[in-house]
Amino acid sequence: MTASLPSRAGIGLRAPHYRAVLDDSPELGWIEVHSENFFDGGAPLAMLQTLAERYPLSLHGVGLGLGSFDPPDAEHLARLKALVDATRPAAVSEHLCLNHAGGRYANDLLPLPYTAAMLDAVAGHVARAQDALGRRLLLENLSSYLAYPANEMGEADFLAELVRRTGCGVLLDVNNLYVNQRNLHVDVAAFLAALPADAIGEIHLAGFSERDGLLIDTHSQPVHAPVWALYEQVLARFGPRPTLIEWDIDIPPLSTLVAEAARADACLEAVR
Amino acid sequence: MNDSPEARWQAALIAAIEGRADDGFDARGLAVYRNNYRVGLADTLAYVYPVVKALVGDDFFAGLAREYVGRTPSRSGDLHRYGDAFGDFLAGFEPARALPYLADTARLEWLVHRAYYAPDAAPLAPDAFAALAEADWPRLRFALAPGVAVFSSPYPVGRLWLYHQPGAPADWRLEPDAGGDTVRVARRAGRVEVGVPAPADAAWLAALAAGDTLEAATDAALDIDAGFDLEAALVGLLRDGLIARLLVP
Repeated sequence: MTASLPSRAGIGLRAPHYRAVLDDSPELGWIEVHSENFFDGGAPLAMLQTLAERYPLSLHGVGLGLGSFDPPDAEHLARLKALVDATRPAAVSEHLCLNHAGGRYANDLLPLPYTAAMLDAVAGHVARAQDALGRRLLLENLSSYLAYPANEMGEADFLAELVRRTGCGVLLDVNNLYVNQRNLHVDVAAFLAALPADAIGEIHLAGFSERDGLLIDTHSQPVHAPVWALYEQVLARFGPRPTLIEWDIDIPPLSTLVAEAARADACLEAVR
Repeated sequence: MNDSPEARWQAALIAAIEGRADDGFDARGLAVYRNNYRVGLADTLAYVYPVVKALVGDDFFAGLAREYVGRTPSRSGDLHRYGDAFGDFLAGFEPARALPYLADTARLEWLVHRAYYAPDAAPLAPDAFAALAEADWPRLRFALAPGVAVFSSPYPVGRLWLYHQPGAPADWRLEPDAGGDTVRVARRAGRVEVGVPAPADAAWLAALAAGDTLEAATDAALDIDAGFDLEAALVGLLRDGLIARLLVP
């Protein structure tokens, strides 16, 4: 157990590499896993507990859907709480996304309306989740492919206000920001300026793919050059932060992920 | 249900992604989410049901998955809970009728999936039986470990499942009159094990799993095979860590 993640690079650990990381303990600053893959215990949890003794651990949830108008599912929250208690991670994060309405789930990271009424609802959900977990959550910005037509503010303003109201932190996904800049013409400079520097607890890097002229956040590629450039800009503004390499589709050999993490470590070193 | 514009937009977006409605969302963006939805749930089914997929082939499975996903919304933020009714769907789906064992194969695979993700039970204290009075024994019942399941089918689905695991003989055959299986599913040391116990052992375990007393379960086993060995069966259950708690009357 570690009090907080180190400002170094880590990797998102997925099933194909569980065995290799257990056997070889590669040099990594920290690891992150998807919380839902370790719910309820059993063999996956036992393995995660072993890993948590060797690396600072981050739990990254994809299923709570705190940006839904309906409150988060109490059972899902209780299962997350049990996992947090069993692994005592250095960080716990969720996405600022919609994933359910009226009891139906999209199991995706959907955009939400950025309005004052939505902010009231989401701040309540975040406070409730943090109370249940007994700790601070980091909330991640999204890649979006469409937007609510009557937004009253931008995603970064919404996040900043959530930080102010609930004390949560921000997980800044630089690839998502780049994808939104290209697809939705989000103003990157204004986005970064709106975020409170103290709240940035973690950074994500990943690769996108392109379909029908849209950039899709597929986590299926090496980090692209313009995303590395934006990452350096982010570090220049916020200083070194724990940084994750995420890869979820067409997962390459572990050595490729470790090399990408080393590149992020070099960027972090340059701003220390 | 909240009737604010934000809540209505969210419900409409999820309905549009599922394909129930198409309320004027940006077509290109909606296509991305619809694709994520269909591919994500179909991939989940392929992950949970590898034996069904092997039995019908990739293309037919893709069609089954498309049909199931179209009929069955996701009800949890935990994707590991999706697909529980796939067996029932197959039982009623006309194009799958030619393979009558398919539905029970799927039902068995769901039990395997649930066993893998079942919570851990604290192991039974070694002296738990020592504390019993002799009079407690006949009416003793067991709470089995989470994930333990006994499943009976008129088709040989236990053998079918085993023949689709790594290391199975390449030249396996099942005759049309191969008969049914009662299958034991349990997780041991992190691995899900599927076994086809002898009929008396299967009946004994099925009765215990259903909450019957040890005496009633043993009578059921002895009815099938007068040579049923209760002590060996109990030792096996203990050795495999499948008893979570003793329920003393």
